[in-house]
Amino acid sequence: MELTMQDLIYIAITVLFFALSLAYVRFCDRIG
Amino acid sequence: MTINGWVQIGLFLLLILLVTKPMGIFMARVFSRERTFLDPVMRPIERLIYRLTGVDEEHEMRWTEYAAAMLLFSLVSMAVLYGMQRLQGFLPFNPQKLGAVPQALAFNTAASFTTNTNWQNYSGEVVMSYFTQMTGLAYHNFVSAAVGIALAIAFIRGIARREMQTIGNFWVDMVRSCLWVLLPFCIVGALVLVSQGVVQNLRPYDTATLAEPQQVQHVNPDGKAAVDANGKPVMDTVTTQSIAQGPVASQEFIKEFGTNGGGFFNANSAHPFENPTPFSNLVELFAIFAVSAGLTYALGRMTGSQAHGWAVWAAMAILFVAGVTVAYWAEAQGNPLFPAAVNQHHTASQPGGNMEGKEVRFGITNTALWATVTTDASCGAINGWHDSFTPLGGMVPLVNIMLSEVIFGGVGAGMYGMLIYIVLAVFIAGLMVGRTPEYLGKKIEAYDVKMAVLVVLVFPLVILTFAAISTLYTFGTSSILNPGPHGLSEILYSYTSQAGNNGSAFAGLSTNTPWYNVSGGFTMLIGRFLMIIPMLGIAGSLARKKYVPPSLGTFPVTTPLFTVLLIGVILIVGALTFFPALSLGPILEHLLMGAGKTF
Repeated sequence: MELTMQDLIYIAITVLFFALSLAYVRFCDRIG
Repeated sequence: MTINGWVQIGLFLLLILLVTKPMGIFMARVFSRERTFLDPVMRPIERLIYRLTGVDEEHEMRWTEYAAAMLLFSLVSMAVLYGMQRLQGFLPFNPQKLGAVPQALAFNTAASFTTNTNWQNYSGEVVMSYFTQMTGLAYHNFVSAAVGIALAIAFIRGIARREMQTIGNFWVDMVRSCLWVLLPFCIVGALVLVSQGVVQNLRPYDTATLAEPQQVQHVNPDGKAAVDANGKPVMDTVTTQSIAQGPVASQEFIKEFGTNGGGFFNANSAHPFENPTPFSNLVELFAIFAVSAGLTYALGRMTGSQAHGWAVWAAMAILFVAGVTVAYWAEAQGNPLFPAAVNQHHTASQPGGNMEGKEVRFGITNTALWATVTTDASCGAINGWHDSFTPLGGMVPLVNIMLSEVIFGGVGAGMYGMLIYIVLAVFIAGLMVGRTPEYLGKKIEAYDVKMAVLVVLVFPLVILTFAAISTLYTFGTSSILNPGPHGLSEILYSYTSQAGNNGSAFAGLSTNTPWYNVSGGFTMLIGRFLMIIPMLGIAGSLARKKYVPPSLGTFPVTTPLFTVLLIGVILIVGALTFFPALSLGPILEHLLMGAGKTF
């Protein structure tokens, strides 16, 4: 087994989701 | 329905009532850092963890820092679980020599266990090695539940604190949840389950010789049933059976106590190695509600209004009784389309009612009770197939999840979900009497309501969007095994369960496909984290506010009127949002069944 392009894509979209979630934290804080 | 059945349901609710206060006091003491009987054992371990990880346990966090810590912890945990599944072929404790989990399935499973959903697009006994089960999935069973408890406690602190910027320390709350609340009870609970016959070993699967060889249709490598040139089925003769086993008990109790729900076996708690006896069934049911019930008492104790905690408990109990009554009644009625000659009445020799998809060991009562409990909470463990329930019986677990699982609810998630409904309830009450709404001495203002609305909106948005797409395109509809309204119910249940971080499957939908794995993975992530963030925003906002003493215009949150209003808000916001979808699914199926049409 070796890491494939699909593995990298799934890891990348996971990181992207959490990065957007952190941005959502900032958004919710700023509208307060 | 039988007297015996109602006595069992009543006994279960009584046990939950009895555990509420001691569990609540214990958790309030743990998270207020008061001394408990576990301190001599756990405190040194806790200190060691902080020393090794560099956590300053005296450091207090603003809600934004608390949320960021939770998100980063979840990101790392999810990535590690993804990698573990992909590399399990090279890792130890893999006597069955199971290979790498496919990428899309690994993504779905990693999202599932990180979000406390435990939705399973795989059969544990044929896909996951012992190493993955023990160090990947069971680890997440603990930490995802601990994150939920930590968040609920942070929200309660937000209510209790006055003019403070902080709501606690995420790392401390999570570590204390694991060490004081989850681990000790799970060690005892797992041993109780072992005493009932739940297996716990690391042996390879046993092979048994069948007493009578069986003919089964050959399955091609592409997964399709084999046929010969004339279109006739190609049959194999099966003479042996593989008996799966493994470290089940250690994963079983936390599965319920942490409201995770992911079974070691595909059959989950209907499997005799996971749930062998009526007593193990009761223990597992009790474990699902124990922490969440206790959190209502902890809410009252930590906010100085014990009566409010009991008012919330009462709202949960009333909704629970309503749900289990409908499910029990619907399943006990049986199938109206059976000929009159088929006896569906309860007798000494049969349980009666609709027994399709149910274990005879548990019968109608305990399957209906389990289906209600597992979906009131965000557990998702099952001991019967919800897909085989009558349309109205199957609608109960679906509606329970659509109400955001606040009827006792998931560990922590149920409490903070209920607190969002409480914010909305007191806001509506304030509008009715023309006063600024207050909740336990805190004014509920525009920011709090905006955040509550964000929490409430994201849930139906993600469910209905993905369900609609799945009904429109072949990549969604090709997975449906039953057409018509039942097929819609299968899709609707799938996304509702994943968004609600429940994890139970209605079944009847082949979800191990790229579309369902990826869309389901995102549904779980959105349903968990995008609801938690504005919820923490409210907690931070409440912590900063001044205390306002109650006045004549304050709507009391300790009375039966409050309980009724809270139930009303839950039903209106939760149920009406999904009513059109329910009309096209289980309600239409029920009406068509009355007209003699089945799916």
